Amino acid sequence: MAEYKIQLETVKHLLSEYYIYAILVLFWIAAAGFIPGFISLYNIATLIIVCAPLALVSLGQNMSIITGGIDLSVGAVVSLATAIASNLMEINVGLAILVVILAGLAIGAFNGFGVTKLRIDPFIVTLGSMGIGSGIALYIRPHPGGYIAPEFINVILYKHEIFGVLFPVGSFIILLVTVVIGELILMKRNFGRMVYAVGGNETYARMLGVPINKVKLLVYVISGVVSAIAGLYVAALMNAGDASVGDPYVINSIIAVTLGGTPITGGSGRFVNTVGAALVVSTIDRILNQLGVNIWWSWIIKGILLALIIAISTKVIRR
Amino acid sequence: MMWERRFRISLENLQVIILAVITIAFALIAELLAPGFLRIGHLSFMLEVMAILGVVAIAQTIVIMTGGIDMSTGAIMYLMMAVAPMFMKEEFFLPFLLCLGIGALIGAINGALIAWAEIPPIVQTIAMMVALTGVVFVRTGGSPGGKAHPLLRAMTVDYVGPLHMATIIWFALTIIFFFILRATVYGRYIQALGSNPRASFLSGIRVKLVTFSVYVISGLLSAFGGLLFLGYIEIPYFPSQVGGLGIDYAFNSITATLIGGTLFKGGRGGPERTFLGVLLLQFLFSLLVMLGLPEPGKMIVQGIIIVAIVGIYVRWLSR
Repeated sequence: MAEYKIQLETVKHLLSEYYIYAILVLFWIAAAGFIPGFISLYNIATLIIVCAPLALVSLGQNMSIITGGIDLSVGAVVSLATAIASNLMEINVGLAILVVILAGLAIGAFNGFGVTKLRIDPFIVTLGSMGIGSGIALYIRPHPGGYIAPEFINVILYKHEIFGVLFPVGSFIILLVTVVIGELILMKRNFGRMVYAVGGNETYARMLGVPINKVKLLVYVISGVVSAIAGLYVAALMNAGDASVGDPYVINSIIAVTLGGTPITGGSGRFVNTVGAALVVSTIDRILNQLGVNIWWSWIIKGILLALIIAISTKVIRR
Repeated sequence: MMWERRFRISLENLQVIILAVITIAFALIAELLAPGFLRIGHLSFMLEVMAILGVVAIAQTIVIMTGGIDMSTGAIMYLMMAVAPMFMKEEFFLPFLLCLGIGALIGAINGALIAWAEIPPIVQTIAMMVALTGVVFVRTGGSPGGKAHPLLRAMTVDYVGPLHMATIIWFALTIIFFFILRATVYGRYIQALGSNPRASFLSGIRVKLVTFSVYVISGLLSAFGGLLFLGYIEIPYFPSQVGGLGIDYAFNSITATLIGGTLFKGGRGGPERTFLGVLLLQFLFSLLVMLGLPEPGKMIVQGIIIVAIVGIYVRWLSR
């Protein structure tokens, strides 16, 4: 009897911690009921391709939200990265990658500097750098287009045939590495603990000797860099640069982070759950796509799901 | 004690006066940079455009004063583009009230979920924005069709002296909400709620009801702003934004509120400050247009100036 009880507790604990994966499985099962053959390697492959850049951007978003901030500039960095890449890849692929990463780093440093040294609200600093980033992106890439090196695309989007389906090995590796590195940094390294400490209670964190400004600065820099990497991936995926391609990533990354159970006030939350939420959101898109329904329905479902899950998790699960 | 209190109030008044001086100085500099900026015709045109943002920013101010935020204001505005031409065929008055009612209803959903389901305001209103984006595009397919009712058009663009009707309405609403916040019990509740929710609760304020009401007002005013917008442009349209419908209006109303000196922390500020904030922000936008800066340059300068103004200003205010 006791053993049974313990198991039930474990299940309850797992469910309250990783509920988003339960929802993911639920969606897939429900979809399989509606659409024959929905659970296929092809659908999984598409999901991975779509989710890789969102997971990258969400890593940065998740870290800044854990510290109690927010990063609205992630979308602009993605756009800027595709714009730079589409211009510089003609000259040299390595140079393009370097400049893209440096651009992400610069915008991240700007955000971090504004938040820490100038003590401006993260919302406003990143809103400002969003304007600056999108402006520069639009300046160097007024119309979608440009050149992305085919060899670069082939590496990033490397596909290998598995069971008769072209499996996106490159995207899968990027997604996996993002999850592993994100989890490692946040859960296993000192830096990760400091990130949680800053978001949990800044005064206590300061008393404990956490270098708050350094941590925050680094978080925004990381956010800029991973968004830039996501931008490189998006550029390869579209085979072009586009100054507004990153716009949806702002809201989508915030949705992924909050849906994954990171409170918007910061202090806790798991990155694996954020990725789970990203998978859920992309699954909704996939289902609607296969049902042939108007794709805008996914926005309605996303909005309702977000409100519903946050309401349930604040009211019921975290009691 | 008494002296201290009086000094505080006069300090706050001083801040408003300084903001007003800065705004006037900016307008004078703008006149120097772009002659004709302060011509009556141009001024009344600017004030007409401002009125739309101004009405929405009043709503945003009240919400931010309680320590919340409303990201769905822009989406509610654009919802009116879809809804108003549908209802306002022959009759004007009843459909007009119906439109406002829809706005208030959406605000009520936001408010109810924020107050009683305890969803953080930013998450709930983003969810609402996402859902409304879906609703609007599923319903209209991206092109709203129809036309603004002649009376609605008259309500916005007709002249009263040198000013447009929309400007007069904006002035009136600012004054009304200024008095509501300063001279009524309800206004005191809002201020108290923003500065200390716990103390407000303990002193018997029905915190949840006040929170709820604030979002209803926000929905109502956003709908009103949307109707003025429709009256202004006459042919409804939707921006081709993929980052969320009306997100630029949400951001601009937040920026105007913060430039006015209403703090994210809540409790301080008011519509009279936001009035000046809108004035300053729109002067900036207009000047950039008049100087003939291309779109990318405008975005970059906007970004920098927003960070600079809000950064310096908020720092100085929150001391």
